[in-house]
Amino acid sequence: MASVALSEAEKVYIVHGVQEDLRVDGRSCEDYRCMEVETDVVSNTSGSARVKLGHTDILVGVKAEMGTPKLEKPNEGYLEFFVDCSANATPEFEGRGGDDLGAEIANTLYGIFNNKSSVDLRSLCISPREHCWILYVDVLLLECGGNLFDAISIAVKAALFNTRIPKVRVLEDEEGSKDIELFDDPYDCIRLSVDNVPCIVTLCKIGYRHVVDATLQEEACSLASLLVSVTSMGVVTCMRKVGKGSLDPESIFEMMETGKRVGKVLHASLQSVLHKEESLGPKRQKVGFLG
Amino acid sequence: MAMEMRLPVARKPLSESLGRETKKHLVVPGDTITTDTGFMRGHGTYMGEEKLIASVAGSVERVNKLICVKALKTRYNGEVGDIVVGRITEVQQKRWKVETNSRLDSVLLLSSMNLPGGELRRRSAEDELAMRGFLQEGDLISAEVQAVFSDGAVSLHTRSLKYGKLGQGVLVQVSPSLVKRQKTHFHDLPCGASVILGNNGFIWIYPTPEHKEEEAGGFIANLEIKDILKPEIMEEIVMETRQRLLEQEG
Repeated sequence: MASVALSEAEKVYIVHGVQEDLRVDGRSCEDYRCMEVETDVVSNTSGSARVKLGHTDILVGVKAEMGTPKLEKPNEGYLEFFVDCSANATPEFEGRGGDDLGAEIANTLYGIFNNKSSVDLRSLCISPREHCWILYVDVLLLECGGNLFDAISIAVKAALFNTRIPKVRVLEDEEGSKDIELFDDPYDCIRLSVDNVPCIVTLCKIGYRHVVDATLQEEACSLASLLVSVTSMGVVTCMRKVGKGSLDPESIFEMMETGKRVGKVLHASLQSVLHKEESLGPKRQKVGFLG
Repeated sequence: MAMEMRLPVARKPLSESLGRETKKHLVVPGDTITTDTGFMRGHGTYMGEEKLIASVAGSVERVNKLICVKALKTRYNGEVGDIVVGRITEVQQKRWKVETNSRLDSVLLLSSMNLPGGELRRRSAEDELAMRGFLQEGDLISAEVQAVFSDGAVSLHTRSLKYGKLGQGVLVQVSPSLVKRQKTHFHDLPCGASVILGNNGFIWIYPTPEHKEEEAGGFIANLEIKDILKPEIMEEIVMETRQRLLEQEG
């Protein structure tokens, strides 16, 4: 993870402030920084989203390709995640430097989607055992300003909401050979239901309290963090501890409760923003990267 | 618990009339400044096709026959006498390397640093071995520019009691072009916070100490909880100052 050098006195100042529920930028321990979400920014993908959370900038593109289903799940399609930590974000990611972090984030994403209810994989099946849709979700880290996991999970959810998979039908000949045909209307497509897609809430332990949405400076003062993946109903799908410090089981319980509470509000805000964007219709002015 | 999520809004383009109102001639790289060949070329300009063209984005400054373009967003270029706030990146043999948001790391020589207690003597080998005890990697200091080397690197000194290692507080980074050169860069705000406006764009906000520590000369960082006023109010003041500075910058 990108790190920033801090003097001992600065760290002590941050820790003392957090004890009093007052962070360096004036937020309380459970406040998020202002977030900007925009979907459909990359034109040659099936769905895309860009999320800006303070200095953290994430771009996610989803491409739907046809392939064969996995042997153990013949009636379902699946998702493949790839995270690219580009050298744009910080010079530490130059060359192979970002590969470790990218693999860690990708494995976390596989973990949180590894259950039956997050995404309806049966809707991605075209014909059992033969054809299915594979969604390749590519995450690009443009800028690293702390709290990567949260921003990435929000961007993945927004991109999946924006994904439009073309409708196809399977035609069978007399000889039994199958042919796949697209529907005539190019705008006729299937959309995924993202109601149960979870979002990650990262809780960093600083001193005796924990904070949500830590900046790079606050992450430098924290020895242990808990990643909780929460759905919009408050159901925890996956939990992971990162960092070299240890966590008391009592604190883990408290942090999980905070994560569930904050996660529900996060989902509600994200849903309202995505629906607001969709209600603006196809004529909305896209801001993109040059706005 | 606050959560604000919104759609991005396109930035409004600055109209050309803004330049006229503020009487500043703003240019971008490639803009023609003048076709008059009688002027001398300064920084940020070059001669092409019989006209003077800008090579950086900024405002044109003219002094008699010299035209130069002062860029809006640059790295810090040191001038003798500037006050800077820097972070130690390396501890070398007889000096420290300090990061000051310039093209090259600045240098703080061991001989340019005040010894604790205000002693005046030649620095010995023991002083050199004890360097890390004074300043470590990651520490913040306030210093003054002593000299500028030919390659642009800046040499700093802390030969006054008001400079030295900085204690508890918050660092805000803005572009160096936003900090004007003034008589004093150390200010005490009436709300109980103090601010050091470094010329390199590093602004240090800290709680005002209730008495000046004479002997230490700024070396011993006070790591206790500052309770001059109630801690909550004190820190709130510091946060708000930081917010306002960031708003002004961006």
